[in-house]
Amino acid sequence: MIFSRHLQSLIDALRALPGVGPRSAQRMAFHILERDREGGQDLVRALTAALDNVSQCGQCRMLSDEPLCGVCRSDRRDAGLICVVESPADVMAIEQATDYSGRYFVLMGHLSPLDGIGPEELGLELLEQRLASGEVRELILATNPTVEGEATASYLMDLARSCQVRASRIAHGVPIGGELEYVDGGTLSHAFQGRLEIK
Amino acid sequence: MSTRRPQLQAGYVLHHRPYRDTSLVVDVFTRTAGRLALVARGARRPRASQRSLLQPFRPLLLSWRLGGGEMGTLTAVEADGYPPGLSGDALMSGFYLNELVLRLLGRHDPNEAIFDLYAETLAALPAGPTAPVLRRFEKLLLDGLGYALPVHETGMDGQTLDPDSRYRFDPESGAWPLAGSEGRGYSGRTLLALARANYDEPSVQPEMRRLLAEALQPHLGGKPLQTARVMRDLTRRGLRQTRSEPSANDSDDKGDPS
Repeated sequence: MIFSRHLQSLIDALRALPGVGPRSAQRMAFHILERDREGGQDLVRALTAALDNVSQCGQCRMLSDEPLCGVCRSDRRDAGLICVVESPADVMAIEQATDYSGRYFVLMGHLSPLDGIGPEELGLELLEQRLASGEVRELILATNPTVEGEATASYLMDLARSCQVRASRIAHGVPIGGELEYVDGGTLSHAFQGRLEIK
Repeated sequence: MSTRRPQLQAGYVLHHRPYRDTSLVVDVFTRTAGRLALVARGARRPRASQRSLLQPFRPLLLSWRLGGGEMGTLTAVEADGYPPGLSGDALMSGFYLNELVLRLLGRHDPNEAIFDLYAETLAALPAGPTAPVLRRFEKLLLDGLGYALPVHETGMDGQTLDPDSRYRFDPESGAWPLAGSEGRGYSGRTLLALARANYDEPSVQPEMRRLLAEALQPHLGGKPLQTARVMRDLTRRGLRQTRSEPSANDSDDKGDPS
């Protein structure tokens, strides 16, 4: 072996990250070893701590350090509202962009019958329990506007109905700063169907 | 080289899965080239315009390039009409159609009759109860694959089928009068409905579903259909309003409307 064995295994390990190919993995490894050993130590500590401590929140399936995540524990969040999203990244996006003050439920995927992903895999039992508790007034569906996301939303609507909870769906439409001419046909037709009366 | 670079061929996306960091592999079903796997480069980038088009059930015009490997490369995609507007049960049934096509049709094996059947079935799904539409698809799919069922108005004993008698149905030979020890069999009414291509009769639905499931079973290679299982899970949770699930692998008639 020409290179250090440890260097090689570091390069291989870095490739586990999305978007990192052999070239970038090599660059990262050299950077840590040559220029920023302290940063490397921090990375090790953070990675170990995260892997040891982060798991799913028992109520909303969001990633969390505690058995219940911060949003579910906080009494400033409205327990009567649940927003259903597909991934933890969606929770982050909503938290950063909106003033939504309810709670979440993270599916960790969407209904995908061809891949065998059904209600069990999405933890719908947990959601059903929360809806059945009577605490929830409204279920906000924020699954992705893909065919699978729509399939998921449609069953969540049935679930909400069977628990007598109001269900709503986030609007699909023309992006702000976008030009109508360049918006794809599907989005435009959704935007037309979902048009709102101006009050 | 024109055959290696087909341009704007009618097709549908059956399924897609992530590929590398920003790409997708789409399993498409085209009229002229059959089923094939294409890499859609960059289709998972945030602003990829292909992304909204490469959805199942939407009629598309696809262009691609075949290389040396198993997968081709998608070079262009355009919409060819509106998506059929499937929701709820019709949407689930659409996934079921896709799984049947994925499992039963080989790659690079064009079958225009089945393509047209698929397209008209998708278009028919939103209109009403899905069960008759699915039964028709299953029956004609078997026909199109060369496994046509020997359903006739006469049984193998030479007698015209009696709607009220029970028969054993053999997918190779046909309907035989049911002997006592041969299980529950099928009613003559079901077999006659199938022979007359009458899929709408509600009273024969459960049996017709079971019959077609059993006929499809040997061609599925032993693995159960995923969509059928997911739909059963949803039904068990009472999350489906109308119960008209697909038939294959589901020979249990409990909980069916009759």
